[in-house]
Amino acid sequence: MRRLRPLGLRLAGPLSAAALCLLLLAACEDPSGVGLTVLDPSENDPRARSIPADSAALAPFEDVTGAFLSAQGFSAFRGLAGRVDDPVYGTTISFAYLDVLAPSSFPDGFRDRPVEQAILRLNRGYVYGDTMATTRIDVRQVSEEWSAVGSPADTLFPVQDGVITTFDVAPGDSLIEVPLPADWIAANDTTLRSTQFSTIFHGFQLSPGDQASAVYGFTGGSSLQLISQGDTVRYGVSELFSGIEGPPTTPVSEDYLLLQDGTSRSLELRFDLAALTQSAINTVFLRVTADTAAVSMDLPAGFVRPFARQLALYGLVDGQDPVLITTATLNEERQTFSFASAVLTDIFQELVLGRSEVTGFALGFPLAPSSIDVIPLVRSSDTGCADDPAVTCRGPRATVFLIPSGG
Amino acid sequence: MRYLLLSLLMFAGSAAHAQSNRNYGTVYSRFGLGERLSFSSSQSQMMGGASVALRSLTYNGLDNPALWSDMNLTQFSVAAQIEGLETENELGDQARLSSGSLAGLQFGVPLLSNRLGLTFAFRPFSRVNYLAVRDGFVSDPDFPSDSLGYRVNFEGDGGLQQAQLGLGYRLGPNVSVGASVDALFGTIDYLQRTEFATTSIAETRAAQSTKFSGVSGTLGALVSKTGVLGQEDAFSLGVALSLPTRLHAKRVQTLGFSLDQDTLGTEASGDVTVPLQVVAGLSYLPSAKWTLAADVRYEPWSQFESDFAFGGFDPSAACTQFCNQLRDRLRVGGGFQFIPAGENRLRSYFARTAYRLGGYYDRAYFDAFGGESAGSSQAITTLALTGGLSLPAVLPTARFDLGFEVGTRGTMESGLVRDLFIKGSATINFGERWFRQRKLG
Repeated sequence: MRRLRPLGLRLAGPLSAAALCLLLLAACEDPSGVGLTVLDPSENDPRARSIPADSAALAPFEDVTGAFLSAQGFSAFRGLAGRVDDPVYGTTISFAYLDVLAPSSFPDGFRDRPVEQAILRLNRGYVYGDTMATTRIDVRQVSEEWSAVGSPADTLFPVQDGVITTFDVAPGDSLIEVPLPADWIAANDTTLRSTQFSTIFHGFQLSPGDQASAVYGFTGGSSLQLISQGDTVRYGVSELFSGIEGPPTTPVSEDYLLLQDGTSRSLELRFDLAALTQSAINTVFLRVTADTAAVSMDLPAGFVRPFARQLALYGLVDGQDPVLITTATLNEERQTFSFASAVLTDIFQELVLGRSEVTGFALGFPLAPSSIDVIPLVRSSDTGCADDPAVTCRGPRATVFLIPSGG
Repeated sequence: MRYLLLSLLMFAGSAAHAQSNRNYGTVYSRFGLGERLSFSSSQSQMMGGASVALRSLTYNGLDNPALWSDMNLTQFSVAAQIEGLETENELGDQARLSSGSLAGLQFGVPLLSNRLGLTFAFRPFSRVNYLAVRDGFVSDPDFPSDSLGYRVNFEGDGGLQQAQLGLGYRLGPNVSVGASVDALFGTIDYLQRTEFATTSIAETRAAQSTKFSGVSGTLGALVSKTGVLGQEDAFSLGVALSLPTRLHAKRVQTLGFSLDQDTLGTEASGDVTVPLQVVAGLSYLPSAKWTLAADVRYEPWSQFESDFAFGGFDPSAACTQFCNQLRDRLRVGGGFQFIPAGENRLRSYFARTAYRLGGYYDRAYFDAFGGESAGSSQAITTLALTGGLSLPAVLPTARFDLGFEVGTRGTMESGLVRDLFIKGSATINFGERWFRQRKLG
């Protein structure tokens, strides 16, 4: 006799199969453009527009040229010393300040014996100028406590009278050893061996001497080496600062905006976005085009002019310090810096809606590693580049991908 | 019973899965206030939507409040629905979409058994859930050789919901009347979501969101007569009238990235008037085994009024062409139910199962326009076959209904699209004696 299964069990199979079929049906999604003609959304595709900057001019901008040992990448940070006369960018004079810190441990009895030798070991990491000619650097002792961070780039800290020593920088030198004279060692022997060294010694100033045709950079890996009866102790650099005197007036070029790091100038940009009223901004590329080849044509032999490979974009807010938005690296092939970030897109969206606190943008240089790099940027775009696809904008511009309003 | 519940859970799971897939359906839901829905009961749904004269002790039809006077048990039902849709245009391009939703929920209490019934119900009134995508490339004006792939999703979402509270009262052996207060509310969003091929560019959403709320009423009447053509037969004639509903509406434009939406401009307020709805129908029960029913529904959407533009309707003075494509809606449906066992509860399970079949014709309340090359707009009609099973449960007052609906909507002519759809529904209907004093002795 056949045993009947419970009724619910008999139905469970087909019902579960039906439910499974519906589950598979629900999982089947393959949307397409079918039905677009019914919706007729003809004007709402994304578009890209180049909007030349409404204004682009060099303006004062606070540069940061100092760093403490605790800063990230300090070993590559530079103190700049020397003088360069650039036929395009003019004259820049720089004074490097470096303080040193006693090590945490000394060889036995080192502090009880007089210092016999003191050598400044300077790691060279940068050059701008005529490397064929000799550049002489004077070494002085800083007379007061100073701070590398928070001081404007054109600050010069007070130094003691008299030059400790002078040294020449040869083009191929990567490590320069500058022996300090015996009379200076004798005068500072107690200070150098003091447990209070950090508070009573304030470091050195490196300044351009009577012959200077280039600015050299000395990195945070430099040190003061002390020798006493065969024991050697290195006081590492703990603080670096560059006091920079740029050209007194902004260098002028008809075709280029001549931007230079360390000279307390940035490129200020403002945009008129009225034409984008209530559009949805997908993304923004704020772009500037460099022309390094054009300004390098007539340089004398042996003249090294470092071009900036990275720029920083800041947002300008009335009554507040500039806010870093993002950085961009030079695309060598296209000779273009292209800034893009979600924050930048958001700022443009708010500008389009008329409610952004950001009133404009400033193009400057990243904080580290400190330089006086230059970058010549194409000043203006050809007329009509914003509307005519055949004409490419080359001046400072915002390339905006957007959904027109009404979507 | 637990296996049935397991199956229902699986069904609910699939409906939820469809929900999580963003719930997309016909592109024609772009028009007016969306695709009109009128769930009355699972029994009616399987019989072509015939409802206003369909009397039952198990089902509590929502289209006609007069039917609520038939209640002698406290009744509860909940229905879920899932839909698969294939849309095709004249070029042979196809899209497949799916959606899942609550079809209806009702709770009825017999205040006086078989004389006065109170019902609360919640059901969708309309649904907007279209999706069409367009893929393309946009060139970088600085570097024309660089192009960026994108996909624009044109989406509609939302719809109107209806909450209903009313009474049905039997005036005499053959006549019942009823009335309900109907609250209509909901939100309709038109969204353009643009995605790019690179994840470094955020998805943007430009949306137009309209919120509605308003109150209306429905009046219903039912006349029944037994012994018309035979001794055991019963004939019923029903009619229901839903009054025009003035909805207060607020519209806001938003713009943003992903879920972070910013409001553009100020909120606009206005009125939207939903036209009246008239449903008339009849049913005939030659015996306890057979039930036949048919309905005609008429909604004069040509009288639709709105301060806001919707798909196929633009009240602005600037509109010069195809400003009002809304037309009067006509829906005709009917079907039958067969229970082999009739009222005999001792017969086998499958003999006590109800088998239902029906169909309907629905001339939508709008004409659609398939683009500038199409010429004129076209009427959109739906033809569908409905059916299903009503499975008895252990409790004689409970039923588990499984329904289907297969149909076609629209045309591939004149730049329009034709939908082929299949729907599945699952409903639990449960009746119990509540709030009754037991008489002892």
